[in-house]
Amino acid sequence: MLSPAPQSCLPTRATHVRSSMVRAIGLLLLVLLSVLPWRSAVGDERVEFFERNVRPQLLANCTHCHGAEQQESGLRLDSREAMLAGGDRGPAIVPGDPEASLLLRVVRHAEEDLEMPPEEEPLAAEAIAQLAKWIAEGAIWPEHEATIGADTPVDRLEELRDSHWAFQPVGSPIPLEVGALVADRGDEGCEDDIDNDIDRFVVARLAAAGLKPGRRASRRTLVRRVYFDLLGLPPTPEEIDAFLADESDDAYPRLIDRLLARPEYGERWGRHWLDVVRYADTAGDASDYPVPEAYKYRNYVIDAFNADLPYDEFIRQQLAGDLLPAENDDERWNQVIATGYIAISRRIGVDPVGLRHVTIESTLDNLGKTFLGLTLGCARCHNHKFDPVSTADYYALYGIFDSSVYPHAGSEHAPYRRDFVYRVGKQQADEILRPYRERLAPWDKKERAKFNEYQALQGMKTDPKRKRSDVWAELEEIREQRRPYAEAFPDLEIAYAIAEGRPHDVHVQKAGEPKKQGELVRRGFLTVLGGASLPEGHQGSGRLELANWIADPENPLTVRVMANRVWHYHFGRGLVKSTSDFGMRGTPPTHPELLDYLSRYFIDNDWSVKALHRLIMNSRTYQLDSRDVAANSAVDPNNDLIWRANRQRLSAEQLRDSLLMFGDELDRTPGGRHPFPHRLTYFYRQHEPFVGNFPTRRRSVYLMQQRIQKNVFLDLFDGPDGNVEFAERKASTTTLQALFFMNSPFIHERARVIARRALDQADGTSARVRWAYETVFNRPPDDAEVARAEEFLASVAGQLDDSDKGRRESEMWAAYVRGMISSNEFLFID
Amino acid sequence: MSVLHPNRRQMIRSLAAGGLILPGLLSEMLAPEQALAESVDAADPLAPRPSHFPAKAKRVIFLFMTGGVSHVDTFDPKPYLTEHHDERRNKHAYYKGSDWEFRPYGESGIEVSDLFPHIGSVIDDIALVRSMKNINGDHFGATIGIHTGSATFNRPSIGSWVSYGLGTYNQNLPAFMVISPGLPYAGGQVWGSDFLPVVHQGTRIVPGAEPIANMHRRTRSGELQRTELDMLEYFNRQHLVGREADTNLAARIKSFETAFGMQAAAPEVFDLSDESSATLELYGLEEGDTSSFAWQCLVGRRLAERGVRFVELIDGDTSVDKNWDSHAHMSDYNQLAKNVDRPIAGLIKDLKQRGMLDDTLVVWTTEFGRGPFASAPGAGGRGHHAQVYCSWLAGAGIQGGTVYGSSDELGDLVAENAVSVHDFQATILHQLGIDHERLTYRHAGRDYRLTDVHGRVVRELLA
Repeated sequence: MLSPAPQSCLPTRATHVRSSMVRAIGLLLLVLLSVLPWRSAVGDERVEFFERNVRPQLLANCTHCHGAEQQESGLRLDSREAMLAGGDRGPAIVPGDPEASLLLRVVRHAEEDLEMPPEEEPLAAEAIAQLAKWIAEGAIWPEHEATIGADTPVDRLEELRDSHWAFQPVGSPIPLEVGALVADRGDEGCEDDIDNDIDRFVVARLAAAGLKPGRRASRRTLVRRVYFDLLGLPPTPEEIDAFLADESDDAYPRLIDRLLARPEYGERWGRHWLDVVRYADTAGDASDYPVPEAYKYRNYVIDAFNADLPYDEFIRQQLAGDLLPAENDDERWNQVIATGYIAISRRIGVDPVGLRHVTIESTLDNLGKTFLGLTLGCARCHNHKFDPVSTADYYALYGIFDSSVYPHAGSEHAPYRRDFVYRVGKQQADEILRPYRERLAPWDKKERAKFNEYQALQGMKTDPKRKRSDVWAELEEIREQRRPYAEAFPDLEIAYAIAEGRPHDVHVQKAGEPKKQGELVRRGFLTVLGGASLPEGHQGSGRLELANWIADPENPLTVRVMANRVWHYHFGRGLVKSTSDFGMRGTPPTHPELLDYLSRYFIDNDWSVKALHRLIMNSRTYQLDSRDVAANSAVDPNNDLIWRANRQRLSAEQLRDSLLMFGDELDRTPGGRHPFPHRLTYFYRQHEPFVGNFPTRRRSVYLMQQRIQKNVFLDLFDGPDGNVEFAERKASTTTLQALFFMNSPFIHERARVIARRALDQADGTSARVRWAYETVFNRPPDDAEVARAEEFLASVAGQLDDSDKGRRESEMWAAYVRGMISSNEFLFID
Repeated sequence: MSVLHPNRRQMIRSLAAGGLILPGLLSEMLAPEQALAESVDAADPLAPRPSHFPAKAKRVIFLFMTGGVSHVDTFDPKPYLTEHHDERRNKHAYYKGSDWEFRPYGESGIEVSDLFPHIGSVIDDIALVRSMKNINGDHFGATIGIHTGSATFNRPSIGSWVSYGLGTYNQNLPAFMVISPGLPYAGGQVWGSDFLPVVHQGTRIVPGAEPIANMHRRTRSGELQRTELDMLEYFNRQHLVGREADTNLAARIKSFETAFGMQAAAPEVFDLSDESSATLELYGLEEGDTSSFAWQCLVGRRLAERGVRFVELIDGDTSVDKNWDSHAHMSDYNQLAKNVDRPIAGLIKDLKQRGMLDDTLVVWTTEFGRGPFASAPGAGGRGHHAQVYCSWLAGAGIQGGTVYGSSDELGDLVAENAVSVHDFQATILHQLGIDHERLTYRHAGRDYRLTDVHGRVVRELLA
């Protein structure tokens, strides 16, 4: 990784040349290493083996009694020396000879009077085999570390808190003055390279590497980039012309303002957020039950971005919206819907209610990555290996969500929904629904009874001669009879949201097993971030307190993570590349001071995401051309120092939405509830999981997205996952994508519609070609390109034997459009 | 894969003549495979890559039986159950003997039930594991357990890992292809690439008019398509000026060439007219049949032959009467076994005849076994049983005619030498020359691997 640049005092020319060569070679090596699928096996394999297979075992099973704190039988197992020195019974290991090693004999239960670990299940055969292998290969111990256990990240918490960059308070770095830059760089060109403070940081960093930023992109390139970036859609030819014609000084900032005010902005940037929170319209259990109300949270996110809801408030609403004050009922309800963030946690298996710890793990895993850039999941079973997060920290957070009520959307073993939140409140809803529930209840009972009969037949508890198919038919009959009672339910307003449950602390679950209880942990926040706990006598789950701890401007992670995300989506890459991992294993920022500057700016501007957009997009750095500069790429081939724009491929959504827009087919109304069957009438099983496909012409953010069965189109073009946090999309190039462009009905249909429009919009070949270029490529064609088009059209016309001139013309133009919309010029944004 | 090479070269040459290939790419495409295998091309993630150590297997054909095949009725005879059939074991369980006889096959004399006489006939090529254990006893968890090593979370499938690790030889076809008429439990997750690049995802083949999505030319004529692709080439060339340094652009241009290649190559894969009637007979495939498991097996062989690295054939889907999940009537097995027995044996014989069995690893596995006990006397079916069941390997460096591991005399628990799904996966990777502990991918802050923190190569199965 590149080290932070000194702010002044450039190295001399000679050392500069050498250092840039070293850097170039270093970068080259990095590139080479990153494309090798496995780490080269240079020597450290045995250390690796120790780290993966032995250390965890020693920590989990041994060092508690044989370590720094306790030395049962005078034995310590936290260093190689201590193992060799041994305890009352002699050395614990004989390197190279597993059979002679006492450690192995006791875990194998081969010693008559001593079995380890005591009073527990014996170690798995595989674990023992790993210990044996480790001893046989010489009991290799990592050189830099004499003892283990004493210095896991959790034990070194204070040291890491004081040293790891991301845990340091956000500073208020002062950008370098132009004068200083000029002096540093020794030329007069600096001023032209600076539009705002962002550029000062970037140019200074480049200067330290002996580089200059590339040129500014053309206004035409820029307008296309800005539209796709902010709206997810290309500009129309008219919009481009209007911008190019506007020669006023503030044409560009005003363009940004205009776009930020358009509703498509929220659809684009809300989608980024939905990626991160792994939004889906189904629960993810083994039968993938639909969640017809999930869309309300999706729309909440879109609206929040459009309204520029301050990010700290956005956090609070998603974690504890139901506990926040509200001015009126609409606002209150909207905030309740916001807690859909927690509700959409991934469900697993046939009985997710019984796997509550897995659901909460999904919550905590996502919460850690999304808001804090920390992977908390590891601490479910053991203290985190890389980051200073203990199991106690994990269960302090766990208790907060265990004290909350998650809605249940149904599953194979529990098909009936429960714990959804009603707008009228639980009490009133219960009253309104009582008669309906009373009428439905006997049918539910019958249905379950029949289902159990069917199951029992499966379990062979009843007469096996009775045919399962008969019982199944009876079951289906009952379900049909039950249906009208379910469908009669009044349509109260419902949210897939979270409510307060019984407040309680939880025990640590040893090794992540809910049944193995460890210490009781007070609900609270991560130790490394202050470790606040709920006060004594606190009434409530603690979600509101958690939200405030996370959204605290003093929290060094929250603001940096979000500022970096915004940067990431603008540039295709974050200042911290691992956008959801700011921990010890994440990548450090290429521009640490710039990141702090952005973070400070974000807080000072009331956590306004739109303010951050304006700052970033008005920088010259954002407006850089995407083309290569040979002198720069020789030193910094990955563009880590940001001397050009990163060319980006259209996302799945941008691709689909643009194609619909070109043909004037795009339905721009916001999406609502998907046409799922009535919420109280379905019974999915693993054998008959929910699989749905609801075609729409709306923007892609409104497509129904399942967790188990993915949307084929989105999946093909690296679309969102919906199961796990998806902070960075890839842009793969595959043969199947190319086949999609060549042969799919979708592409052929779009091309036909766009061609129809070209024919309607303009007269004569050259005007039509012009329309197509301006619409699809956002630029006019040159004469040669028009000539090539004419040649192509003539050639195609010759191949079509249609006597119908109209149809022939449509086909010719459709063929032409297919070429355009399959091309790189359309698919990539400069 | 010499079979297709002349065609491929011809096609590349014709593409080049038609101006469809960028200068520079041509020499790369025509370069000998050996040279390709020694380089790692970031822009071409499917280029063949060297294995960690010399591989016995060049490719895998992975046969997966949906629903959970009973071990005690197929490959693991339990006379004790037969002897004590319908006797009470305890309060809730009665012994349930098999409805089928077992008899020894081959020189090895390994016993196989009458459900699988054809597989029995090739038993000397098979290394049978009678001590498999899955990490989960539910369809969903067990299915992704054997495929991804995790019973809960989404992880890349074994075929994706292999594609990622080794790439593929025939750039006209994906590295990982799955013939799956229906959807297994967990659906597309079974061949998903999850955090691995999507290019490594399994391409599903659905028997029918268009086995690979969008494989058929949609333009009216080939000539028209060529004209169109010429136009596309023109657009891309114009665009490339001044952007030559961006390898993504070249990679995407190349993807159309390979797609064109796939469009040309794919129909031939599914066109069985050049198969002799003797071959069809071997698989038990009737002429015109394009949907049976026999069809899957024969097409599987053709894919393997054409350089596809990992071919998975899935039998059955989630509907209970179409898979091995016979809770109610074990008698369903008569038909289920008939559907796959001869095709599977035919596949092994066919591979052997063609000299392909030496470097093709054939894997047969399922979700789990089925319970040796019933909760009532005379019960017709069996429940799920993940504690012990059977799987087998054949070909590529596998010691045929061996049995490894055993269940107890009831077929209830592992008696000795348990083989976990991770061990099984490690062994498959090992035959491909991959050290399962070194095939890793950095994702979300840590290195992931197929076998998680587990897995032991079961060397006892190897020749």
